[in-house]
Parts: sequence; C-alpha cells; structure tokens
Amino acid sequence: MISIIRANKLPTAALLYIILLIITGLAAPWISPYDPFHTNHQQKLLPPSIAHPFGTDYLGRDLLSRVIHGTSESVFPVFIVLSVVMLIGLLVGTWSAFLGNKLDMLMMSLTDIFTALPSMLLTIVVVGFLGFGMENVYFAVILSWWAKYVRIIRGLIHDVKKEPYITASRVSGAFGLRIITRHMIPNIMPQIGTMLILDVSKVILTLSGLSFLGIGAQPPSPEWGVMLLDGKNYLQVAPWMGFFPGFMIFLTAASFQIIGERLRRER
Amino acid sequence: MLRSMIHRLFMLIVTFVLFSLFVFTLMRLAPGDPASMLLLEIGAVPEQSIVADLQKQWGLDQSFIQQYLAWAHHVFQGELGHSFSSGEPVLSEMIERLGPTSKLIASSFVLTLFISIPIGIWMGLNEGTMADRVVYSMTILGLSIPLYWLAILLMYTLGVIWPVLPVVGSSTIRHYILPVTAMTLVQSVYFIRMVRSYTIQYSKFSYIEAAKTRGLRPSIFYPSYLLRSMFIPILTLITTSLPSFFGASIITETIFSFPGFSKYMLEAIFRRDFPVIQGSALFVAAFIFVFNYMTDLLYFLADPRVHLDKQRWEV
Repeated sequence: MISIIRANKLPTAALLYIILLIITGLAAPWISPYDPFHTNHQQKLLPPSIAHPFGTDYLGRDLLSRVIHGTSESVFPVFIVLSVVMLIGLLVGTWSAFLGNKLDMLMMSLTDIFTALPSMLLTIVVVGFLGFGMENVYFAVILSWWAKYVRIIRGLIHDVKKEPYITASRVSGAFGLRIITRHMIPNIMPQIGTMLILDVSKVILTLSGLSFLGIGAQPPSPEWGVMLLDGKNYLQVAPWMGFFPGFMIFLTAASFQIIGERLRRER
Repeated sequence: MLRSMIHRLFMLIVTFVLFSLFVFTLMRLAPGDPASMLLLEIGAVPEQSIVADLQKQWGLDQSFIQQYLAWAHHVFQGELGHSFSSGEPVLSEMIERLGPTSKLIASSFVLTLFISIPIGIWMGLNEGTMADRVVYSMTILGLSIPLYWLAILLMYTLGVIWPVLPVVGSSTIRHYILPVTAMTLVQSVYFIRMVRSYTIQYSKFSYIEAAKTRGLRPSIFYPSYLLRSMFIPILTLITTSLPSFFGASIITETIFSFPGFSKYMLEAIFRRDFPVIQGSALFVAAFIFVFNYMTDLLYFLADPRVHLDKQRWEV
C-alpha cells in the first residue's frame, strides 16, 4: 500500500483532494465560516486576510464560504450528467453493436452529426429555444456528449465480441443479455471508467464555463463559474474575486485529469 | 472518386436537413404559443377565436411536417427572417459580424499549428527523456486550465497591472493579441499532445526508419517524410477541433467584449431572439458540414488509398 502511494505521489494527492472536495461539498453548511449569502456593506471588496482568507466580494460576502458552498453546485452535477451519458452509451452502444448493418450505419451517421457539431452550438440552440434553467443546460450537455460514448462503447463491444471467452460462454450455454451484462460490459468497464474520469474534468470546465457565460447557474448562486463572472467585473479593484473560484475549477479539473492519465498509463 | 464525392455530397445534404429538423423541433417546443404571446404583447386579451384565426393565418394549425416544409422552403432560400430586437435581416447582421470572428479563429488556428507541430514532433522524437516528461506533465495541467480563467488572468496581468495591451474591442491589430493568445495557449496543449502521439506512432513505420537510417538531411526528412506521412492524422485533428475553436471563440469574444459573430449568437439567447438563434445555428452547422466535406476530399488527394465510400469510423 505504502509503496503504491510512494510510486504515485501526485495521483494520490489528487485523489485525496477529490475526497476532501466531496466531503466539503456535503458538509458545506457546517464547515463554512460565514453565511455565503450574507451581505455586509461595511466589509465589501476586502483583500484576503486572516478573517477572510479569500477576501470578500462587492456585496461584502465572504468568498471562502461562497467557494465552499459552491462546491456541491459546481462539482456534483458533473457526476449526474456523465452517469446519464454513460447509461445512454451502454444501452445504445451495445444495442447498435448487435444491430444489422443498415440500422447500425444509420445510428453511426446520427452520432456523426452530433460529434461534428460544437457542443456550444447545441447548448445555445437548446437553451435559446427552451429557456434558461439547469435542466435545459444538463439536457444540452448530455445531447452533445452521448454520441461519443455510443460510438466508443459500440466499438469496444465489437472488439470484445470476437474474444474467445465470449465464444466459450456461448458454448457453455449462456446467451443474449446474460453474455452482455455478465461478460461483455464488465470487460469494457476499465476503458470506460478511465474515459469517464478524464471526461469529468472536461465537463467541469464546460458546466462552469456555461455559468460563466450566464447560461448555467444564476446569481446569487455561489457556483464557481458565476463567481468568476462577478470577479471579471471587479478585476481592477478586487482581482481575488476571480482568482480563487477559477483556481478551484482548475485544481478540480486537474485532479481528475491526473488520476485519469495515471489510469490510462496502467492499461 | 466522382461516385464517392456525390455520395458524400448526398450525405452532407441529409445531415443538414436532419439538423434543420432538430432546430425546427426545438423551436416548436419553445414554451409559449406565438399567437397568444403576440396578443399579450400588444395588450389585447388572447380570445380563443382571435388566437385560432392567427394560428390559421400563420399556418400553425397545419401538421408538423407541413409546417417544417414551409419553414424549410424559406430557410433554404436564405430567408432567415428579421431579428426580433433590431428588426434588421438576420443574414446581413451575421455577415457584418463574421469579419472579427473569422480573423480571431483563423489566426489562433494558424498559430496553434505553428506552435504545436514543432513541439509535438520534438517531444515525440525524444519520447521518454526528461524534457519530454516535464513538458508532457505540463500538458496534463494545461488541459485543465479553464480558458475563461486564463483569459482573465492575461487580462489582469497585461491589461491592469502592466497595461500594455487593450482588453476591450477589436478595432486594431493590438486588440487581437490577448484574445488570440488565450485561445492559442489553450488549444495548443491539446494539439501538442496529439502531434506527439502521432510522431511516436509514425516514426516506427519502416519507411520513416529507412529514411532516417539513410541519413537524409533534416530539411528533406521532416517536411517530405515525417510531416508528409502525418498529414492525414493532422488533417483529422484540424477537422475535429474546429468545433472547439468555435466554442472557445464564444468565451473569448464575451470576455474581451469582441463585437463578433459568436458573441452576437450568445447574446441572442438572452434576448430570446429566435430568428437570430435559428439563423446563426444553421449557419455554423452548414459551415462545419461543408468544411468536413472539403477535408474529406483532401484525404483522398493526400492518400489515394483512402476509400471515400467507407465511412470515417471504419477507416
């Protein structure tokens, strides 16, 4: 155990950070020093100090408390979005791999369209017509990510189909769904898991980016992208307002990236 | 060749029709009935009979397919309607704003290629050395830097602390420096990693090994052997990353108050300006589909072994 940690100092640190982050997100109301929504005009735009380690914003709200409270809103949706994407990928991808030539090709042409289009474009179209609100934003992000997972899972299942152990299980009498759920999917899980972890950092950047653009979470939410947008407007007088939320986005994305890279090297 | 080109062209049209159907469906799903919304806007009571009359006049009582066909008939003739907020034709408003955006995207695209191809090749040829490993670890972190944060940091250091560059607008070349730098830095990280892995993969091929063993001059070896054989993967990289350049341009233009197309498109959703959203979405999609079509043709010119009949995921 210790030797594993010693050989992987950075990935271990990243993992610890993520565990800490999740705890912070769940325990935010108990560990944040101040109320994240409490405004105090005597204390606005204070630089970082011992009382306010991250400083205060233009309404005198404590930025550390806001960053802590923003954790759940900035990080947890990513897991929901990616779970849905993976579920669609597993269902449609496996299904497509077993379809006949024509239907499979149709499915792949459909994924071709969605992978060719910028995710930002899909988001703008969905949010533009259906209106603001987080459900629409999640829907848009899922819409631009599902195709990638369908294609990759379809490809993996295709490769696995030819493996001797699948033939063996078929010969021993297993069939249909059982082969898929017991033999195929567990065998492609390591690849999918690695991809998911690497994509967590991309989806964090996407979702916070949308909030930064004003499409996702809305003020006074302490979502990190929203805070960064506030920080941008006060760049000249209070640069710390934008620095800390942005740094948290970077640190979180980087942690998942480091772990994902490490897992990829393993394969 | 000609047959597969026509096949691809057919697919291009089908793709675009499917996308337009998607946009139309979303538009129809938009909350609110246009007839009663208009009546409320002019202060009238949306009475059932008037609403029904208006719906009949606008063709809203027809079937979904009929409505789509009527709409598509206009759109495919280039009639994208008028902006709700300015009243100007969407098409001309879009064309006005294309200049700054295309300059922004094109210059960061070219810069990205100029930066990442040499660095990526150098890293790939020195795979496993200390220098390669250090730069590679840096790219892992680089992938996680949010573009919007990087742009703000650049804005702060070069616009506020040490104010040498303008941070708002697009009137002079100097206005382009910060936005292009931000976009190029973020995109280069990804490109460097990809070019590095292509180099590792391609330098193992026998004809590259042979060329190296023959002691070819670097001025011949790099351009006509290594880069020539990596042309197709790099072309794929360029095609597949065009969407991300578009996404990056939306963020960059917003941060630097750049009066371009991407910002125009984003702002339309805050005003719920449906004709603008619809027009610019169709325009961007058409541009990307046509761009993909053209690069498909380039594949064939670059490597006659490529069968255009085959779909891309099979190659």
